[in-house]
Amino acid sequence: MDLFKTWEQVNEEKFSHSAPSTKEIMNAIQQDSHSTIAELQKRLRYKLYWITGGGIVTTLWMLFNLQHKELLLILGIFQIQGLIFLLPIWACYYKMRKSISVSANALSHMKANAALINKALQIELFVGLGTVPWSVMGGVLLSNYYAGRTISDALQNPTYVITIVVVLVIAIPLMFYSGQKANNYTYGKYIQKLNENIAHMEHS
Amino acid sequence: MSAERQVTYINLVQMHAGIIHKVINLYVDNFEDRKDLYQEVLLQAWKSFQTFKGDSTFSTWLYKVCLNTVLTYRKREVKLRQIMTEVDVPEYPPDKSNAELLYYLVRQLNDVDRMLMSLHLEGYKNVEIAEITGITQTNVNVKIFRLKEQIIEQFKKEANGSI
Repeated sequence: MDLFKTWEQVNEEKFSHSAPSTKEIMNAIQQDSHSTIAELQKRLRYKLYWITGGGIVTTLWMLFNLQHKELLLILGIFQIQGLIFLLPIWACYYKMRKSISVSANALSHMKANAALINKALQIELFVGLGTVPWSVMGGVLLSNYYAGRTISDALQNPTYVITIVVVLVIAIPLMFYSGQKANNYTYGKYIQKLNENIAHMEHS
Repeated sequence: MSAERQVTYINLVQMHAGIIHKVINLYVDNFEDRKDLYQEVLLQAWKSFQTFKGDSTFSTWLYKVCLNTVLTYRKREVKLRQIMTEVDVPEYPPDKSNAELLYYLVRQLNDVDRMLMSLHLEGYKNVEIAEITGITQTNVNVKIFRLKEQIIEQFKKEANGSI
């Protein structure tokens, strides 16, 4: 039996479709991509917008409240934190735009996808985890500050310190666990399949 | 990209649309996924069309774009009720024609083997398959040899009525 001739028959029976109309092609090329990379890129882009927007608002607020030295200190820490997060998110976002070539060979393309997806998910988790401690501490200190107590007063009060520590001890692992769980639910099977295919291609 | 380039792209895609249907049908069962993937391939191909310099034929280039898009596509989580109505899972061919059986056997292969076998059956040489997939040529030779043996064996079993 000739496999090639049989395949020609498969082609005729299974894959013969009418060509897409010009309108169909135009509609397709004008839409947004639904690839996993495009999805994650969108998520990172929104994070960039939030952090940049938050940074601008906070800076403006700081400029109009220069007399509140302690408050400036807390907000200054928030700003530095934002900047620290901004850089890896931006770097990953930029890399996603530049380094994925759909016309590269399949193995390179799959490896680039797997690496970028893992990187993006790691960054998201890192940003989430990094935000929790500062948000908890900032929230407690700011509420104290508005209640008329100074930051040093709050830090000398064991109740507040214990509250911060307990919240952190619970919140960080919880955040880590739920983040991992959510990523695994959404992308777990997909990443596993991608890695399996890569391994299969690399070994005979 | 210029309007002229756009017209060229549309004409080329219309001429080679069968490749897109073929790759998608070989990999995706769900109707909605097929529809989404079809549009995604057209979009991805258009985005990288500016880098297409004609080093390979357009059909080879499009094959590569299709495979890359399909192999990195995250399929929908299909709910049970949808599976019952929408998913076109290839069943064992009832009419047992050679073409039906070959289609069934190729679809039974894992993603990578399916890619290799379909490229081979399309008439690509092993060196070209190595270039498209990124797998070393030695591996391509070995894998395709094994896959063909496996498929021929299945055909023999079918002839003996033991499949």
